[in-house]
Amino acid sequence: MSSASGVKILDTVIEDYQKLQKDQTLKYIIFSIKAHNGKDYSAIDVHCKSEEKKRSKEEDISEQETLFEEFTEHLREAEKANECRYGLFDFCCRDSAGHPRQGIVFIAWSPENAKTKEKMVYASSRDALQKKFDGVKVIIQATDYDEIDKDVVEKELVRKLYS
Amino acid sequence: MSGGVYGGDEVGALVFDIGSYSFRAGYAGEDTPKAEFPSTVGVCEELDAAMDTDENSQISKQSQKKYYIDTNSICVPRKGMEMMSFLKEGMIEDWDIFEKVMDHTYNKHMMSEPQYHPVMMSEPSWNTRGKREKLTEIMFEKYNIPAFFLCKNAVLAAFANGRSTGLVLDSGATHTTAVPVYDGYVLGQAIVKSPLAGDFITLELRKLMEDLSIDVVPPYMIGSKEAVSEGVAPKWQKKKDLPEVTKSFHSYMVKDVLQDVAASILQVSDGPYDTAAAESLPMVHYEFPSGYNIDFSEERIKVCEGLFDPSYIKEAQGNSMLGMGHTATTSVGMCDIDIRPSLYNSVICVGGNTLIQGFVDRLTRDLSSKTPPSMRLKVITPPGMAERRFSSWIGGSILASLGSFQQMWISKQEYEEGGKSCVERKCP
Repeated sequence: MSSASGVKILDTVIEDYQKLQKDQTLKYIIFSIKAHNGKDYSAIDVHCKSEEKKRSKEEDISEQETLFEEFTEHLREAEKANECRYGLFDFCCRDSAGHPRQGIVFIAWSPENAKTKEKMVYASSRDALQKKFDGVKVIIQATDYDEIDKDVVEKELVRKLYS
Repeated sequence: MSGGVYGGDEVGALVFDIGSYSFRAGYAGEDTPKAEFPSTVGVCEELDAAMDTDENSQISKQSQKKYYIDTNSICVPRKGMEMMSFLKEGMIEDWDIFEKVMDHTYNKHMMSEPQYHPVMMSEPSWNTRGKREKLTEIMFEKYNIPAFFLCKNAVLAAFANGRSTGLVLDSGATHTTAVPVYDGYVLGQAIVKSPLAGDFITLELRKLMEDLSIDVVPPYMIGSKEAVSEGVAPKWQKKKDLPEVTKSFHSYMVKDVLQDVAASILQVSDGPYDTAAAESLPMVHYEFPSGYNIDFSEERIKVCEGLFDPSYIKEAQGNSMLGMGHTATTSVGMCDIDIRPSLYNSVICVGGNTLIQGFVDRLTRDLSSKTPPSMRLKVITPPGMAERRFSSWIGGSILASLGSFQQMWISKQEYEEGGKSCVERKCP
């Protein structure tokens, strides 16, 4: 099933998703829609990603702050360029007993000031991409920094995990 | 797999967006439509010279109808010209007029042959299967277009505002609708419509003019006029040799003046109507085509109050019409509880009627008092006037110009093999 826009999803997207979801060597991935086969805006590709390494549960939590900062920094950069992005973050939070729990968060980043063409292409291609990510717990449609704030994301994840 | 190379930059696709107020047409990839003209057309019944009224002659002088389309020709007073729209509840109702409008668009605006351009068309979210198939058939059979695509206008508006999930509140001329879009699809069972929209505002203005004893004279009647001081009876001469116009023509022309009045003086009150606040509103001066000129003050917000608070509409006591905020919340309330937060989080406000000053602020205020506290309300409005009026057209323009969209079109070949029912499969 393709998206409403007909935009393709490149294999690299699926490969990196495996690393994030199954292997847990990636903490975040950011995707963008790029030119493909000489046609503008025709394929979703990996834009950038976190450092690839195996993290222990404790490292996962201790590094999260920095990595989330890095992740949102990439989204800010996109905003400066009047562009949109998709992002995945393998978020780790603690339940009431203090046990760590994982949950993948999908963010559709469409900043207010992005070009209409960007908004249109990203919004119309999102559904197809989302369907490839079967383990996503939380989907956030974000347009401003408030919505991608670490605490907001965490709260949303906790709500989903424990409801 | 659909064959052929359409869309993209190779062949210019055309984008048609039909609204109850106007028809928008242009080339895919452009920022705004190349043409916009009223969805209302003038129709003259040209009868034979013999004016018999018995049964037999009725049949013999079968409708020799002449159609007048586009602003310039419909504004000319003509004897017996009736004004009518080919739409009913946003859907195409009169296919003859629709075809005349399409002919006009190709000949006078696009100035090109239909067979060279794929066509992307918007449709209301509640369009029926029969009408979708008929439209597909006409486009392929009559216009012989190479490829076709139909897209729900609410989906296009949501996408153009960067959302694949959201509640599209579209306030146009004949109605206001709340359409929930989830992951790019319309949730048809939760669409809510209200008749409170642009035409309602012009109706309220008409009543106001009656109350104030202002005779709204449309420009077509005026031959000459003199400048008069404020509030003084206008001095104007009626144009000579005016043909005997129909009632529908006259009221269309009056409506046109009132629409200008609406755009010039109206404002929506920040909160529920309050006399003290209304009286402190700055005055706005308005000059009618007849030369009559006057200041408007509290009327400026009184007229729009019914949009948000239908109990304010005098004639409609105990009516069941929904105000703007209510239209939105009713629709959200009909959706699954899990998706309600994401709908409140993306209320997309489009349509010409939302351009009334203060509309969006009032809507936001009304909604925030009704949104459950656990949910975050966000009302999104496209930045410019063109974006708000043409959201769906702009969305269609971008989509149809994408290289990747080539595979999405219903190609002529597919239509020939699969018949008109392929529209249900290809265009959800």
